[in-house]
Amino acid sequence: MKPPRFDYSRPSTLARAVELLAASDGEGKLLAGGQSLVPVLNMRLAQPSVLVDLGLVEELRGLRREGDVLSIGAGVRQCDAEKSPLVRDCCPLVPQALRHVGHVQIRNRGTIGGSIAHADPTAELPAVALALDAELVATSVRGTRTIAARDFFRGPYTTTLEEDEVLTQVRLPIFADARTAFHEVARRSGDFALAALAAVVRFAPGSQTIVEARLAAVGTGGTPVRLDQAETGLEGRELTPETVDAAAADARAQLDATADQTVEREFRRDLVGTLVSRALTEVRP
Amino acid sequence: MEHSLIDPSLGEAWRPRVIGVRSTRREDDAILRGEGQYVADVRLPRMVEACFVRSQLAHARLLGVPLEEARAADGVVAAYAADDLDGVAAVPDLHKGGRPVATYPLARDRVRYVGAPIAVVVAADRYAAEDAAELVVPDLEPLPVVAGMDEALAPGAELLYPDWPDNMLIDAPASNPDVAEAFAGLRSVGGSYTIQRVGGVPMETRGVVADYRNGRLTVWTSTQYPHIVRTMLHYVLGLPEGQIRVIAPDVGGGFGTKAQIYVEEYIIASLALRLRRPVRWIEDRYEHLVTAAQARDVRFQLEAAVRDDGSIQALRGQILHDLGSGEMYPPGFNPSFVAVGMLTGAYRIPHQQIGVRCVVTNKTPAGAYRGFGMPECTFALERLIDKIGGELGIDPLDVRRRMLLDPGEMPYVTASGARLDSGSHREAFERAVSEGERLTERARARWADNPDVRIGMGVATYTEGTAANYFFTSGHWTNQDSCDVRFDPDGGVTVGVGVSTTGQGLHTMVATVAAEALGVPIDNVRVVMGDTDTSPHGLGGFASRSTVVAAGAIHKAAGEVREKGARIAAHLLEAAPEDLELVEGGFHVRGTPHRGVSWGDVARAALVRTVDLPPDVEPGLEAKAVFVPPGVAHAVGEDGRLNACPTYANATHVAVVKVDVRTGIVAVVDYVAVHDCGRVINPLIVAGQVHGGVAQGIGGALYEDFGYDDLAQPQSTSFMAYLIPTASEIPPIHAEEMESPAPEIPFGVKGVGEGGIIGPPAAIAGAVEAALAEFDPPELTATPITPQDVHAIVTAAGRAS
Amino acid sequence: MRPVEQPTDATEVELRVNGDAVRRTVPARLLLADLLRDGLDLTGTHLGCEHGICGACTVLLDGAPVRSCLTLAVQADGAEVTTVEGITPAEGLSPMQQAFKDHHGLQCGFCTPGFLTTLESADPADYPDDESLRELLSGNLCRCTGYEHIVAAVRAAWNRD
Repeated sequence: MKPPRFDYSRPSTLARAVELLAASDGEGKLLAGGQSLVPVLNMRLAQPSVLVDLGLVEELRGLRREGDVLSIGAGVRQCDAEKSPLVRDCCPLVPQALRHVGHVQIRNRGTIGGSIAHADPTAELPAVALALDAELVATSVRGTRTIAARDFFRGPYTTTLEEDEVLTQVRLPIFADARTAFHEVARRSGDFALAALAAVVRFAPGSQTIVEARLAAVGTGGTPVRLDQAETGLEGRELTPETVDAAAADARAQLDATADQTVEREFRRDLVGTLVSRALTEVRP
Repeated sequence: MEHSLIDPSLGEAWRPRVIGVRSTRREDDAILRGEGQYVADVRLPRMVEACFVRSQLAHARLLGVPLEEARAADGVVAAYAADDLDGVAAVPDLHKGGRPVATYPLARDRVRYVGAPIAVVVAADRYAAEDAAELVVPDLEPLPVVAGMDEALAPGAELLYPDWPDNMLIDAPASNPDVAEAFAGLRSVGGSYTIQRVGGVPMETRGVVADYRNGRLTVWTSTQYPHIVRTMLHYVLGLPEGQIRVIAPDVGGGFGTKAQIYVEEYIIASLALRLRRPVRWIEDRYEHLVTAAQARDVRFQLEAAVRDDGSIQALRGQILHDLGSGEMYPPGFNPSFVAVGMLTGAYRIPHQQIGVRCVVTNKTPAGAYRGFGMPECTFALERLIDKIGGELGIDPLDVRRRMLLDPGEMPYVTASGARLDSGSHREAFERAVSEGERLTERARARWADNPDVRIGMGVATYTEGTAANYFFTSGHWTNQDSCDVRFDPDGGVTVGVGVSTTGQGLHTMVATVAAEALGVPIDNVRVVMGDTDTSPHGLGGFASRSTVVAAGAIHKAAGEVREKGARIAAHLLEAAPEDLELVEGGFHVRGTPHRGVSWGDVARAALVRTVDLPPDVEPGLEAKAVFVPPGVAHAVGEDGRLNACPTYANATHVAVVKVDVRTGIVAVVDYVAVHDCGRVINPLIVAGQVHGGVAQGIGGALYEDFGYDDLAQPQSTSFMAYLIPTASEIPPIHAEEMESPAPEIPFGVKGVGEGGIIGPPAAIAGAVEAALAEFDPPELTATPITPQDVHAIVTAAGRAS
Repeated sequence: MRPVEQPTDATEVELRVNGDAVRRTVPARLLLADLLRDGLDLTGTHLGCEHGICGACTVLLDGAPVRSCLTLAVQADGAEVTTVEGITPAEGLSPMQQAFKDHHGLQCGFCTPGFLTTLESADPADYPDDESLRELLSGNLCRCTGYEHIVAAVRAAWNRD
């Protein structure tokens, strides 16, 4: 289990990185923390011609608050985001989710952008991005664009990033009035999820009345899913045991309508329903 | 503790000094410092590395192996397929039990499982070897795949071995008129019980380094069997055994997985002979998960003839065992015969009749895994007893109590012929149950406020046959082992043993027993094992045997050395030998402690100042001994019975589980193991064996599974799919020791290596069933119990209500 | 880390390993674990799975535990790498190593270096109870001990009852 041959580069600027990526004609791979890519290389499931190591690219670093947005450089390591007071204060959902990502050794190398761009269908951070309606900033030799999280995940390990694009920033809206929770069911500690749920619920000041709910689930299909039906049902309501149950039922109903009817998927849909109840119960003010 | 039980020959004054003491291990410093020497750490000049080309199909005809491209690749030294390796014979068929399987080190004509080695590439390093191996595309013509036992036994099934009439490697029916009579008169309760495919999966994969120089072949291999590897290399490569040296260096876990002699060992050794340079092969984890021996994969049909009080008069049934392709030595069928032998466990069940059918399929060949048939039979019987309790409306614990053996019944010969020499079957049970009930109450209180949580407790009681004979399965070895004890002139002792360690702490065990038996400080004992050039002949480490057989051999050899030492000491002290007593470090005249000599004085006289010896004593201070465990038969008797072990350990386990009925997640929150392995040599090491076995058992009960799809493609090919439990899945393990010394074994010791793994599947299944009682669960008859299984039970109950 | 602006299949790395300066040209694809084991003969770092699950290959990279099987040697350019050999005193054992010995926190020992390197950088305050400690340990698989004695060893080394 050793990687195949490839060429390696470690550009010092984003401009050079996208140039190298473009020059690879789709045969190149970006290397950030390597926690998803290197296992794939070791198993020889990918044989890129060139690796573009983003480790020196300054533009991918940095955690900044920009008004109502928390901007996380795609190259920020998961462990740094997990421990950052700024992230905790602005977007507590991020550390809540990161707790479930692999193990400490993985989070010490893995990056925020790497996990989102890898788009593992059972990974935690894509659910966070989707729940928060993150803006994902991508750069290529052709320029820079911003992709809404809802438009980003296309299938298992597949995103709408073009093959010459680098994910550079993850921009997360900051909601002062939101309470958040991340719940996950996994076979073992640190495993990818059987199902996981990211919940962001905004309440009217001093009340239990929901202004907006955002629920994103993973585990039931090839991409994270926003549970729109449940979200809509919650808006304007008070968060009571009844509305929690209704939201869980809505979540199941929405997921049941998807094509995959295997017993395992059905089980995972039930899990999402359970996680909706638990997450909503947790965020009750 | 009665000192006379330690060893009466040590004398009246003797009190055990080191046996029974909780002490640290001598192995640990080097390992902790990162100075362990595992096979992958062997470094030799000019060493090259091998990579195997393995079958991607489960069943195919092998039409050709084009190697030209690989041979031309960068860094490649050589590439071979079976036809290129003349001088490598088929693995001989030594076992007597079933149809012979011709196993060739590299595949000829046909492949029968995914991962079967087809070719081998040797290159400057593993990277280059993998590059070249990728270039080899064997010409395989797919054959219909036999993906499981039912397909294998179906009429018209594709035959794995076309010269066989069917796919059964063994079909051993059983009959017993006493059983028929019992069933004629009594109520019958039965079920079908399945344990999935799991395996030892040690953290160190397999690996071999071979070097041929100065006319000798040296093979470092991660094995439990150094001497047997040497013998088998002799058979397959044709070299005299004296020209072969096999070394088991530090071995990173074995658990039975390394109690096989693998085709890679022959091939790597043959490459060293052929290339005249050292060759290394370190198995990667993918290879390990698809080619190293897998185990269990058993369906046990079991039926009991039950009296009105729930107790069992007779058992009858059949074991169906999936051996995979069967290309394994020793062959994988023996656990099923152990399951027959150990079935009735700690219970008074007079009669049994169990047939065995071992089937070949296109899965990875089956072999040994810790527990070796005992988890399977314990799961079947304990689950059946729970069912009997349910059907008769009797507390299943009381059903067990009615059948548990009492100390006064020892020795007790079971329905299969196992001669239980001693044990604390009832007391271990009561202690475990009472502790389990306490912990269950504690768990209930802790989660009382959580409406989604249910708590349950399950029980498993078993006996563990230790130091079993291995004749039937191996066909050419039994269960003796040996040691040599040799003094240095300064009073230090070297003890060589034929058992071999995979990390259990056998060096510490041997040193402890030798220090006790000789009365020398433990730090003066040097232990030699795992090297066929320096350790005496022995069979290695398997079947919970090492402590029993090594202690037996040391006892014998040390006794001889002590006797000679006493004669020399008496001469030096101008006293009569019978007036001396052994004390720590030497001998003194009884009642006159200041009149003494040390072992160093004695050894100097024996070895370098031989003029000081008494006239009738020859120089030298050493002895060799072979120990053959008593009371063991090598073949089934006319009554159909067999005692395979000289002594039997026992235990009761209780699992306390917490079930989240909304997610299906089962967590074992506490685990009790009250166990009895006779005299304990080192309580710390014994506890470690129990803990480790329990953790593996929990893995098998809830997480691990070598699954295959309809084309017999393995599904657990990485650690993302083969789920070894982490520290978060393993609960606190409450291990408590009882001590029923083995009456016929020196020092009263029994084995303990396999015990921990036997109980968990049965105890956990019982606990989950109990936790789900309100959902009216069906009997849980198969492992692993997954979240999806639990969820299905809960939702079915929801639909029903 | 220095820039490598032109793709290349081999490049020079300069790093410190257990305090010693190391400078050599390595293939781009060489895993850090293999540089340590085969290049520098630091065989205390073990490879148990090569896909980042088992943790036997854990080393400290600039003080933080990482999988050396999921790190390319070239990625360690400019870094300080510490292996089990580097956390071992010249004589005897470190307090954590001694606790592992005292509590029988190892059997075959293949996984042990990974546990030790993981624990080396851990702040006990971040793992106040057994549950969080077990979660920390869950990134390292052990097949021998059942973890019970490892937990006992860490508690002892951290002066917990």
